[in-house]
Amino acid sequence: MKGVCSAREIVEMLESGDLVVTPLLDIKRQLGRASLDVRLGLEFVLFRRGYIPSLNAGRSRHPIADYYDRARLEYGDVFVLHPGQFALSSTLEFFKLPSDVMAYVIGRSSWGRLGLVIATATFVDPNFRGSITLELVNEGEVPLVLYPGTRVAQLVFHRLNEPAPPYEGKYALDTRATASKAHRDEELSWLSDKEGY
Amino acid sequence: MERGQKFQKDLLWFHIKARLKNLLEERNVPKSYRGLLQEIEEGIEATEGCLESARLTSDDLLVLDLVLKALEEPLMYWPSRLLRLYGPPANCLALPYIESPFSFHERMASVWPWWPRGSKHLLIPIEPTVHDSPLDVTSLAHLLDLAWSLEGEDRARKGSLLLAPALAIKEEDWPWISYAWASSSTLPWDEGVKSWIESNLVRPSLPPWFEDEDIAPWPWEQICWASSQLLSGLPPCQRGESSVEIVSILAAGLLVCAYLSSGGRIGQFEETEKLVAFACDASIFVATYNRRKDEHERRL
Repeated sequence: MKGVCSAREIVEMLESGDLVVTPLLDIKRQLGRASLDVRLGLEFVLFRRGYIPSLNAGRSRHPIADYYDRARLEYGDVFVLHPGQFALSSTLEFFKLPSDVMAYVIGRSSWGRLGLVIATATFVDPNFRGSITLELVNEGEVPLVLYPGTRVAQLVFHRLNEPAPPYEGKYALDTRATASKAHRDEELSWLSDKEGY
Repeated sequence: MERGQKFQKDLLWFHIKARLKNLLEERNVPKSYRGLLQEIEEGIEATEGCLESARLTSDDLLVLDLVLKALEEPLMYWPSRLLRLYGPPANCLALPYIESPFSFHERMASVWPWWPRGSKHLLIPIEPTVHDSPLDVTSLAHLLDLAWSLEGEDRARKGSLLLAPALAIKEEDWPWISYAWASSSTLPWDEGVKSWIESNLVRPSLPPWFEDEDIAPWPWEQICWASSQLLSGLPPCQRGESSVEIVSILAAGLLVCAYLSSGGRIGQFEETEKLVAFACDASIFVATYNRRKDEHERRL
């Protein structure tokens, strides 16, 4: 069956092992009619405001890691996301997607109504293996308190017309919130090259 | 006291206070260091008024200086993780530069009786050769042993006993480690599983000179399952609804690395290490979540 996967199809994929989601803390609470809720992970990556004048992925003289700080939380700790603040986190879960299924990451309405945007780049490739990085932004007007393990997002699975080749992208097998690797896009090196123009 | 000695001591005192001030103002100091820094700050404040009269030697001050110097170094994640999980009930900090493990408050109070009593901090020396990796089980077990040695001689091998399966796989010292592990009575294995493993898996493979009471129940089934997960490229953090024991994840990680090594596939160590690290963290989360959930449901 092509198109968006129903709850029954998600369960079938999980039971057959074609789709792996681990840890899956509470499938009854996490399974929607055609989606699977995913939880906020333990690690956060934050921009170092005021440290570097601008972020130029194409011509940066600084290693990309210099732009970020990492914060690691434990169960029960809180992360406060201030209005307008941007932070990266990841899903608590590790995923393995089948070769003929892709997924979209979508925010949960309950959190969206509080101003939380959880993903701006929402596509998860078929055959992807790893944790999904979430791009968190507080679009609301008051600081939001977030707990690791909270169901902040959901995955909607789509079946493809045919299986895709293995995923070998830059973000394969990420197991923690991963900062941008845009500087590895090879066309950036010539797009940012003004020599002889 | 000779003037030269006094000057040296005053200078050292000045440096200690400067180090402390820098650390207290440093935003990236780990949370687990903050408590100790707070205690040192209070101790130094209490000392200010009586430094002249105190019969402190430069060696006494050097201990404090060394601890502060160690706190300037970044926290090593896996040593501190394992110490928090399996170490004695205290704040255990694995620190470089110090030579032997000691209880911070006891050491300070022995020379400075007015030293304030803070939380119990056990300082454990960490060698520069320790890798911050869940696969460096030898170092992790050694750190745990050092920490437990402060709680009494009879507990001095608790870390090695706890991580025995992983150590045995790494060091290929199966019979001895299984013997040693058998002597531990503190491991919380389910009795039914324990006796099944013992009679079906462990006993048949043991050499005849083993005595009954020495037989070690290894979590073979969990280790085998975790190994197969790792070989499939998945983190073995949860089985059914239960979390997987960290000791089994570490043992499986080393088993898989040993297998990869035998096939010359050292390049895959990195993936295994990532999966093991993820599995350990997730497993702890699952265990805590399940416990809290049960507590809440019982209350309702």
